[in-house]
Amino acid sequence: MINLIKADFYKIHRSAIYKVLFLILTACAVATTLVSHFVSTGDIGFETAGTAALLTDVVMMNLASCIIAGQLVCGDFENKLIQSALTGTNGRFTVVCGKMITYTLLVGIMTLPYALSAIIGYVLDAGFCNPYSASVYLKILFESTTVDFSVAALLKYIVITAIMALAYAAQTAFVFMLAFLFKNKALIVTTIGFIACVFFGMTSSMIAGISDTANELISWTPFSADAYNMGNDTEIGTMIKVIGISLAFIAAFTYITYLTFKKSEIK
Amino acid sequence: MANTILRTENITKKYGDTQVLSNVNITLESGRIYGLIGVNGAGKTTLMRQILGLSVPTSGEIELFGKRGKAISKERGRLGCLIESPGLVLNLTAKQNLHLHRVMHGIADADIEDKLLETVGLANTGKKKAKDFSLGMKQRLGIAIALLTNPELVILDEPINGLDPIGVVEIRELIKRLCDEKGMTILISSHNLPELYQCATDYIIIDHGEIKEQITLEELEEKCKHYLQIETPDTAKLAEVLESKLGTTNFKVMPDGSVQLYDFTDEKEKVTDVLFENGVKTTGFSLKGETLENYFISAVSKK
Repeated sequence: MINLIKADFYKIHRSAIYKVLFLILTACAVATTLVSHFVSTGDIGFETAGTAALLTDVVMMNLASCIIAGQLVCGDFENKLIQSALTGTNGRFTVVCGKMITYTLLVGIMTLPYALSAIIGYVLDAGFCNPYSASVYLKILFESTTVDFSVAALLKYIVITAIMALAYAAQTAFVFMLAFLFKNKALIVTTIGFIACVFFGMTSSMIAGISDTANELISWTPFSADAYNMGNDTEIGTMIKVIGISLAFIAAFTYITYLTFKKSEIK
Repeated sequence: MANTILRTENITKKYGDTQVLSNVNITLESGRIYGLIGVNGAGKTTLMRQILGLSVPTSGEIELFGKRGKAISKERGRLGCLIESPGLVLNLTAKQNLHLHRVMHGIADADIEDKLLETVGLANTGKKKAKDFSLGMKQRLGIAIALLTNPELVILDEPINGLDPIGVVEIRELIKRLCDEKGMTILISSHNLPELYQCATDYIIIDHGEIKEQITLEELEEKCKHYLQIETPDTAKLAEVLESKLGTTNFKVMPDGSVQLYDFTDEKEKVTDVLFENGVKTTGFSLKGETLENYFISAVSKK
């Protein structure tokens, strides 16, 4: 499996699309950070900042994950690399697991611009606010004004950004399954995946608000408020819960993906 | 002594109500080149896919290197393949594509990349990306990828598609060399019968998902051999005249008493003159034998 992951990363580091995606996410992370700063200084009003909500990690990471799934899986069906992988000693489960690990790592790498801007913003303490409540990274920036700098707090924020990256991979794991289902139809996977991600993101908070039971139910998914509200005051137990739920979701979708792929025809 | 590399037992493949393969039984022995012959849609690629694990048979079993069931998954590492078009990343060069596949299969020997590029005639492609390759160059690179794991069984689906005449000759020679020097077993499908005839040692004829025949080159040559069929009431006299007057023993007396003469196929008049001069009565005299194409057509039209 490690060979498949290595081969994936060899291909990725020579592919322009991932570099362009990373640059776009970097630009979005910088723009979001600047908006957060200028709203706090009063240079930009809350209403104006609203339009920049599309650049936050909440929207952009969903989009990026869908694009990654499309490229990583559908792209390999298109250029027959999946076929090559299977005609070695790799079984289908190994191929699915290898791809899921690459996918999770890649989603993690793509959150780096947001994570780094949040960490740098926290260290600089230049004055930030959080005009959009659902972003962990913006919450870290916002907390820079209230939480004094310390190595312990810095380490905790680094851990939180890593957990959030895992949560994003878990939230979009079903897109990975779609990619194996639709095989070489990357555009369909990206489109359906993104629409579904936005839908789940919106409805999960609505469903959670219906009743305590619904809230409890949602809290056991990666769409839980526990994930989005992580900050300096988050307890370790909550962080472990988010990690556990995210890993369980990733594992579950890896297995479901395997079941859909187990006997499918590979052209 | 030849080992059995692959054996399929009653492989059947259905897509819905459509039966694409029907009780396919083939056996491949090591160190031979098998030509898989069939028209479009005969089931050649589908059969190859079942062997490679890219498709799962509806019923039947595959034995690979003596292993069956789930154990053959590991044995598939001893296969190399090129099915239709090669698995290439178009924005990578030939060497980078080979590197990618080498990493994917966990092959430590980095020198193999240059050796294989040399072998398939792509050593001088430099920084040219695969997207700028001709169809023939892509096929060659696909063959290089198929050979990367130093496989014992190489499965090539229409490998000479898109190759120019020189390329066809080079690939044919390469296939023969792999078989002769490295003892590789090769299963190769093609529509190009004359081309297959120049490299295959065995032929598997498939039509409508059924194996019509599996024969060796020797058997095929025997069946396609041209001969003069002579029918006479006095077979003994005919044989004596052929030996004494025409100086040949290259003939066969058939159970029905007719004689198949494999010499003098271009000198029919000479034969008839000698037979007439020596008082051999003939009741039938004709040139017989089939071309490879005709043999293939007659094989696929068998019920």
